[in-house]
Amino acid sequence: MSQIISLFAWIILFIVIAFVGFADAVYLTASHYIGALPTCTIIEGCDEVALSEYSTIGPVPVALFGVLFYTAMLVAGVVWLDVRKSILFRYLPYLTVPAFLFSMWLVYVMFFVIDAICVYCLVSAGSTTLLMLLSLYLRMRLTETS
Amino acid sequence: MSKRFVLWGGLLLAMAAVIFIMIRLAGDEPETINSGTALANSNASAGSEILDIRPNDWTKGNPDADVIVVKYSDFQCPACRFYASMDDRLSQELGEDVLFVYRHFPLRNFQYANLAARYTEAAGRQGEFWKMHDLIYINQQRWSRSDDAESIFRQFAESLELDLDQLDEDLEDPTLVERIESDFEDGRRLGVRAVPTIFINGEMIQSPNSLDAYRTLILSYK
Repeated sequence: MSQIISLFAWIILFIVIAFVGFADAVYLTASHYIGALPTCTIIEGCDEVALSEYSTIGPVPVALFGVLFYTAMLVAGVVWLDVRKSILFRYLPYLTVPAFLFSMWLVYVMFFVIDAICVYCLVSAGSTTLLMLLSLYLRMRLTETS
Repeated sequence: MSKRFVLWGGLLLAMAAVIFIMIRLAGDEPETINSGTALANSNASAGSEILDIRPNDWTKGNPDADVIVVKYSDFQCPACRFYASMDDRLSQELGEDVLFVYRHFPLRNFQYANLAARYTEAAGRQGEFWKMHDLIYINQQRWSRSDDAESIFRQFAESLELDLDQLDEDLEDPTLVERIESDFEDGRRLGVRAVPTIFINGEMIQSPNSLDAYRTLILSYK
């Protein structure tokens, strides 16, 4: 029983992190479509990351992929809460590991190519990393118990 | 059944709430510009003559156009590069309907912003302000990260076949430096706090986020 409770807590944590990532990615996507172009201010400098060619893949903003990814993670978490079956979590790393690698590449580009920092992008990279670690851990736990 | 309803309903509701809030936040972002507008409007009587076209302004388009777009801009700011290319497109597209005016607002936190402004001014004395302006913006990513931006500016000057001795003399000319300084001071008096800041027919506008929005805005002043 205690094991199930702690598993429940892990899944809740997973959902909470996915939710943070979701909010962050929605903000970045919304800024892309409706926000004014980032200007440079006397005090704060400018938002070079959002203007860079790396912020989109073709016409699609990278942040939109983030929205889809976090939505998938949220759905997976809620599916578990709903049916308490682990099948989905067995396959989750197939999504979270590539997402993590992509995210690391974006962080690399941000620091070494664009040479600028975007806090919202770092939040997203952080939540993707945590989701990957959690998904690997949960996969282990869930394959043990089922 | 009801648990399932609560779970999925809760998820959907939470996601919808987040989307709503984030879209509001993203849309509200240019707060600083709005406050700048308020400031500019309150100073409108004091500052409006600053926006009048002067004989030594760098302009592109029809001097008698109904719509006059005055832009305070910086050569090293990435957003300004964006607007420079949009201005260029719109100037070609709208032709006689608009006059674009360029004013300097080099931010102190950019290493080469002032140097770039001086090079365009010096090129301007040989009749090539806009060509230098274009070269500097188009190649911004190249020189802004370089250790020696000046040698790149010199290459531009050579490619424009400018008289380099004259250019060197002009670059050091105090009146040229003062001119950039006075543009900057004018901008500050108008309430410019960020670049680019655009005034259409004397009104500070919230920078449009796309070419289409920009075109529509300009045409609305016709």
